[in-house]
Amino acid sequence: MTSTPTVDDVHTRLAPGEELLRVEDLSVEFPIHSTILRRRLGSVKAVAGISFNLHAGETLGLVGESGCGKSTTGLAVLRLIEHSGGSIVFHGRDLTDMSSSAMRPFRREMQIVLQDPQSSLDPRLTVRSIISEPIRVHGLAEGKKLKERVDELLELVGLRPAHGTRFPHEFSGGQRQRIGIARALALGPQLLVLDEPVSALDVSIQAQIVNLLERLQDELDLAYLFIAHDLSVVNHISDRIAVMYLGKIVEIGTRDELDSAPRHPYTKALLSAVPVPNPTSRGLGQRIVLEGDVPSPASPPSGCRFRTRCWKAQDVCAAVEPVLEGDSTHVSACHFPEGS
Amino acid sequence: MALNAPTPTGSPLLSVSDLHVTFHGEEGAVEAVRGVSWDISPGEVLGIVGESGSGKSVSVSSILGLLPSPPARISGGPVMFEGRDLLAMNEKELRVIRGNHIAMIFQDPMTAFNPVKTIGHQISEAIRVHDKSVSRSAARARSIELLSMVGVPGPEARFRQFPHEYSGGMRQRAMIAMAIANRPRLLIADEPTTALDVTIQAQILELLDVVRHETDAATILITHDLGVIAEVADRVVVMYAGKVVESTSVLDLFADPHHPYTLGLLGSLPRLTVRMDTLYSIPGQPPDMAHAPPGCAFAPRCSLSRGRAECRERVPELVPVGDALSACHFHDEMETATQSVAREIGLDIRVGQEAP
Repeated sequence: MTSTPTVDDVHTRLAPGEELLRVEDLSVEFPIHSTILRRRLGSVKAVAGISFNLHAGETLGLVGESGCGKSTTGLAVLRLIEHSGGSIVFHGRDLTDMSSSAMRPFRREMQIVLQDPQSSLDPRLTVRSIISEPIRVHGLAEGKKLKERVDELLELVGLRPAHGTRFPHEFSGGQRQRIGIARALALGPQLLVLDEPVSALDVSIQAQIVNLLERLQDELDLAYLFIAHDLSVVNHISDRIAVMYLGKIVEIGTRDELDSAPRHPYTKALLSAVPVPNPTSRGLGQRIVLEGDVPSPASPPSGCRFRTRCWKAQDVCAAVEPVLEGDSTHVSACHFPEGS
Repeated sequence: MALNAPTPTGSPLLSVSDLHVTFHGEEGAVEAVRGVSWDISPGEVLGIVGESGSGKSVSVSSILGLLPSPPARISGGPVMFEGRDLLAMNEKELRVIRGNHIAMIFQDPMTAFNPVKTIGHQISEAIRVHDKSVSRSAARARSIELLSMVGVPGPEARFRQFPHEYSGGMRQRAMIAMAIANRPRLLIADEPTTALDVTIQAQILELLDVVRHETDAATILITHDLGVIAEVADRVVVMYAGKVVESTSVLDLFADPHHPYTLGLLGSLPRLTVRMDTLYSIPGQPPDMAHAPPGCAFAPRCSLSRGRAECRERVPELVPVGDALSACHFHDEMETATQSVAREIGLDIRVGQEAP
């Protein structure tokens, strides 16, 4: 995009395949304070310089284990927490240093669904108030039109308009997640950040929500940043997948590329660790059991952050930090990638 | 992990018959476990699978007297362990069984350990409580040996550390060390890997397998994860709404499910290895156990029932179907049901028939 779009342009939907979001070298630091003297002792780089993009109508899966920075990334992309470096470009506009008033029109276009609908829905509000709130705050509808819009949203996520008068605690976990999705859709966004949206749900309910998200994406041309630790779910729903380890993206590729030819040893280990629901393949697959735990992000290893658990690590891995390289769709950050 | 092990003859190690657990609360009684029967043979790995509220954990905790009573009330039985009825034992007798013969591994090791005592102290204590003749130093040596066996690096230094100084995976290892300290004959693992990351889960599943070979203990693995079941169980019990709906060998379960609920669960699993057009989704949600439906509890969500009166009115018995047990009035229609799910999701979920 050459010209700077006007604010109105932000609400125009991009054609499928156009770049909706570009994140460059994003980092997020959390300070570490001493508990007694309240002195700043240092900082933890939860996200340590990551870059990726997301196209209109696409699902990018962001996968990694606890503490790898995937949720922090999701929040930082929406500017719900402050980042310490890098840039975020949404719909051709640089959001990086935008004031919160200038951000307002962008907020309509980028929304979030959180893991635990129990804690993300106000227990004192009816479902109708919860879903109406963003619409009223942005002044998009009121009165009869607002009611109709909420009814429409409830039906869209598989609930009934009559459910609107109830409170969140009257619903099951799966239904609460539907309410959370309806609220996120209320402003007609183009991008949804889905932060572990099905992790707290039972298998049968998880499938309902995954199918709902896929249907909504088709009907509403949504782009998803789908953050989860469950590789099977991410793999099922995503077009492309980014794998994070200790604040860094170690590999990005289409899901077929990652499945059939993972390049980073960590991706390979992660894939091999997923239990396969097939008892006849027991012991056949090459399970790579990684040794040890993830190091503390407060003092990450030098060079490649994965080297302390990597079976391929050499001296160069401790000295030189690998950068993401590869072909147009498939890149990995490893000095000794698989299949080369 | 012998897959084709013949159904063991001889007497089972633990045999549960017609177990009921009812919680009496202010709003009346809720029957969480409604007549459950199964048994486990020495050395066997029995997987108990089900979703939240299916009664899988409650049924096992109740056997060991781990549920506070009131509100829990246990009826039915007997629950025979090596020839003795656990339900007839008093607390003192049960305590001997719990530490010496049956050990438990929980989902969250943080709650299983006392936070103000060192890990080493707690493992040593577990050894000495059950055998007072063991000296302090012998218990210490044995604890360090156990920590080393479960793969805790630097066991001597780790012996002196507190639970919060361990990572989640290491704590789970330490709990396994404590569980096997007295060479139990039965190990009960309740969602042992649910709170762990997938690479750590792989470590712990591998460790459980090693431990089983070393101790020869039978294992009951309670989980909601059919992938974990496929990896480690010999036999599987599927629970829904407080009842066993299917029970069979792990191979048979994945090759030929005999209950529509099992079929639905298998169809709703996203898979890494094969592409599915969409996931099968079981409509609705599990019943509120305070108002469990009459007849088959799964009927309102069942694709096979299609509202037939039989399902709504009569509780299906657990009956033999081939080598399996199934609690479905229309289990002879499973072939059609499986094919209809296959058409919907673009995958025949039966192992061996996944050809696209």
